[in-house]
Amino acid sequence: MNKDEIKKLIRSYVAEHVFSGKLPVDFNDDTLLVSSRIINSIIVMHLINHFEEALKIELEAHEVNIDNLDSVNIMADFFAGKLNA
Amino acid sequence: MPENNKYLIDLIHNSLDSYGDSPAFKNTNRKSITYSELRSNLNSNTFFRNYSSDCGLIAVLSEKKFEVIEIFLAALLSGNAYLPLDYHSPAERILFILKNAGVKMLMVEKSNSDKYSKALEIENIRFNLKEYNNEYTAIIFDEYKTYSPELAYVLYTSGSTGLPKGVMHSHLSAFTFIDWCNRTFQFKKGNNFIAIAPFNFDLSILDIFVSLRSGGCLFIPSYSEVSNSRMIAKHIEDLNIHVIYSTPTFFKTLMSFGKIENKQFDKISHLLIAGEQLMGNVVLDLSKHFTKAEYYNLYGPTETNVCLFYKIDPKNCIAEQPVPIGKACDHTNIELTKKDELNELLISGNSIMLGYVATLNQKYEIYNTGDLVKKDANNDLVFVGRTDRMVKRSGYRIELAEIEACLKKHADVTECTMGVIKKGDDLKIAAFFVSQQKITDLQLKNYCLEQLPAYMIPDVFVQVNELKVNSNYKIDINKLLIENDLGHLI
Repeated sequence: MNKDEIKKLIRSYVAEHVFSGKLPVDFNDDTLLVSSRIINSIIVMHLINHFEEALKIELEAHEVNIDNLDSVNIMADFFAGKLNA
Repeated sequence: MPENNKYLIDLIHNSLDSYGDSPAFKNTNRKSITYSELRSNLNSNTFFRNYSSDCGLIAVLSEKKFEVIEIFLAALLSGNAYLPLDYHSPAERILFILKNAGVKMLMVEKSNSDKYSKALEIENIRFNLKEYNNEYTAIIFDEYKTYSPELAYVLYTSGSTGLPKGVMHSHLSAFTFIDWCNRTFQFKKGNNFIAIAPFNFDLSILDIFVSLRSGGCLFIPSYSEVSNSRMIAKHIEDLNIHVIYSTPTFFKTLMSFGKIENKQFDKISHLLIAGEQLMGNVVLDLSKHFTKAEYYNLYGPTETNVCLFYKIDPKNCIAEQPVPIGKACDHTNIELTKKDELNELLISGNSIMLGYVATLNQKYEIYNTGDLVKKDANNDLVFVGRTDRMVKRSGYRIELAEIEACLKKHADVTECTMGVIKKGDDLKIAAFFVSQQKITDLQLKNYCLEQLPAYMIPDVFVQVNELKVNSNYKIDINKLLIENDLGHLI
């Protein structure tokens, strides 16, 4: 799976679980999600479990942090890196 | 018996004198302090004592670490009281609290000093800056409220008038609760506690003072570590934690996301659960992993400290049924008053608050909890609902009126109301609003986040043409929830 496909999956997840089905028109792939507190820690943990299963990757405890998860672009980079590791 | 302003001071001195080189607090980066070192630091700390002798509030805004507790203890030993602020609250809310409480000093990490100095200047509030130590700056206010020397700390919670309210606890009310904990749970020197709750949350009183009184060691994870279930699960195992005091939401999250299947939690002796309704399934799940722990459901609003408790036998729990809140602690008197077909729980006794900051002189002999209860077959009380619109999420109290007051201030929102979708112990908040403009969810979330803590932000914003009223001329929230088909949120 390439990075664009991963981004599409993340957008779809955020739309469904954060914005009740549809991304707002002013949302983009650089919109900060965690540091802006738009998504809370429980949604973050749900999201990680979901993508570990979907992408067959595993995150270490110390990798669950804002530097790896703060926007669609940041998450896609991080997940793609894990896939290629 | 100590004087009314001495209970916590005596407790602190006794512990500092008794537990010597045992560790008192540890940050999870392994930085730690022993009781002897803490005693030495506090004895030589004259910062607050040199300033003035009347009792004022020392507010602290900081990342979670033991240095914050040192400030709380120094404030108490100097005859002041402390006010822990929510580190993640928007600046606007922090400023409201500082003004509402009339604080004497605000202790901030140096990195935040400029931000708050500038915000206070804009508000025309006069203050001086002074270095407290290498990490903290003290913002010392020219004008502040003087409080009764009985006051120990103030905790702010969501208020039904649309504004946060400050709950004032005395040395006596705090000590009554702490003393009950130590007698009931028999914690010992060397017990390891972990501070899951933020310091502005009432659960922190047990973490800080019960561990201190028993000669235990309190591990203090950072805020980001607490929100990372995998890291917390690792700490609980690696640090040989004995006691965890937290909310059902925390424990559910730990079990769902902490990857705890292969963890060894056999050092855990006590799981203390409080802050929101506890369902049987949570205990049943916990008992598979925490096999050697005693389980307690503790009940008490911020205003009363813990005042009822129930020792849980996991074998008797039924998945879909609430765990009882039990019977009164020995420091509490309870009364039940009829509200329609149910009973409202009223609390009195030494553990209840002095009062609210906004109504300084109003004393509370009895506190009406607003919680509706029934008795089960064993005469234990069971929580069944509320008399008002207050809800709880992750243990935090949320007055829906406060969210409505926030959203109504938005220039393009003409009307709004909040609806709650509840299934079992899961809860979502839906904001219904009327506006002539198209406003996106993202704009409204960001707008609310500028004024409210994240746990109060609605999960969904629904723009409607009008807020229809029912035959009682009240907004028909049930109809709004049904018409907009929001059941899928849970």
